Amino acid sequence: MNNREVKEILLLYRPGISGEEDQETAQALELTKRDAELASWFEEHCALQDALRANFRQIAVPQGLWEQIISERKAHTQLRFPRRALLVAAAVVLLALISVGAYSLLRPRPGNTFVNFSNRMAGSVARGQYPQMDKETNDLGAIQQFLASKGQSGYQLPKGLEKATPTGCKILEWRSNSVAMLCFNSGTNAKPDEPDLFLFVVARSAIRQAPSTHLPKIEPRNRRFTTASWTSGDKAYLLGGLGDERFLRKFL
Amino acid sequence: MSPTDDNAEPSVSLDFESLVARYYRSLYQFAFSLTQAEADACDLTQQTFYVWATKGHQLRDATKVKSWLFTTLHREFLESRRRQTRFPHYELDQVNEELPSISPARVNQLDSAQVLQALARVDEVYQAPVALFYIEDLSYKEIAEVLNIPMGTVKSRIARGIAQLQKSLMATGSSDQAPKQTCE
Repeated sequence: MNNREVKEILLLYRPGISGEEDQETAQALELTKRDAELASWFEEHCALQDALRANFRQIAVPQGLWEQIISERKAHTQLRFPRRALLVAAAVVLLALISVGAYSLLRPRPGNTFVNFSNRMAGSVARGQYPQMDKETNDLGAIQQFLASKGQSGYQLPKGLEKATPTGCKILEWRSNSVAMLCFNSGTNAKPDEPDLFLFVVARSAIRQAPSTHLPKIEPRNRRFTTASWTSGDKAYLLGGLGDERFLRKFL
Repeated sequence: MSPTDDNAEPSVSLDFESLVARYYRSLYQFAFSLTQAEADACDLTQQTFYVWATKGHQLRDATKVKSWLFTTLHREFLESRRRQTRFPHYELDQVNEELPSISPARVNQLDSAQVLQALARVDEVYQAPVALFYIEDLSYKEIAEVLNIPMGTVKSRIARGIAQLQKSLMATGSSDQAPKQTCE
């Protein structure tokens, strides 16, 4: 190994960096101890390398860089969060829509039975949810006239309902069939302007398994809602009342 | 107040703020060595940590964080330069250039600005290896990973780069001004 080769090897020598002190380097280092010219060169070389290393490591870092990196990270995180939240929300909505669509396509369709009709009609009013009336009036004649104009005629009101005050009516649609909804106030309702009796009339031909008798069949739906159902002529009837069986019987 | 990173090797923490505190300084110095422009160096450093924030979780080996960061910064630098040509690879055989000798007095006069100006005059292909050689105590293997070149090529480039740097330093006048340092 000549002096030039020693210099080339030691040019890459960095004391303390693991894995770089191979046999060749050790040999070159040994030679610097024996050769005065090499020793002098190596001393100067090390001083220069130390100075260069120090100068590279003294490159001034701009003030505020650390804070800027941290704050940008926070800004990115904050920006990403709503984006991610929106994506999750969109995915949830999409999944829900797919589920609803699949359910409506695949679920066994309830038939147009009277039970389904009864559940559908009574269910909402039992929960206190009934639609805005097409006609609001206490005049039964006006109600009947309105319903007749919509093709709903030929029905017979139970005698008992004469004791109640009409409040209005509405034409509903159930499985492409027209349903007349007549609302009454029993006079015992805590809210005198609001109905607590609901009569639904539908063509008997529109439903299957309609009640086979003209005698009302009374069924408590819950603690505060009861229904009565019967058929008469070509109509099927469902009367719901916000009260118990005794309350409802008064209006049949 | 910003923390300062040290070159000691405590156990590696992948916590974002810990990593920034530990490496932002040396990454900036490496970036500045490459770009010689403070704004570009700031951008590269920030971009590196942004990439870490978004993709760092993919790194399984915590001991590779340092070279991952330097690799990312170097890659971002190359991308920003839109370099079309690949650097040629050299195997370490001989550094043909005669090693210049710099007097001890000249060594003592050196400052960072002069060193960087000298580095800017070194062939571009050698700048990154030389900067990594001096700035961070990366092994040759790690430098090879950062630059994505064989280890032999790393040694060759560093040897040639150091020789050119020393030549350049001899020619550097002592009146050179340090670049202004502010980060917008």
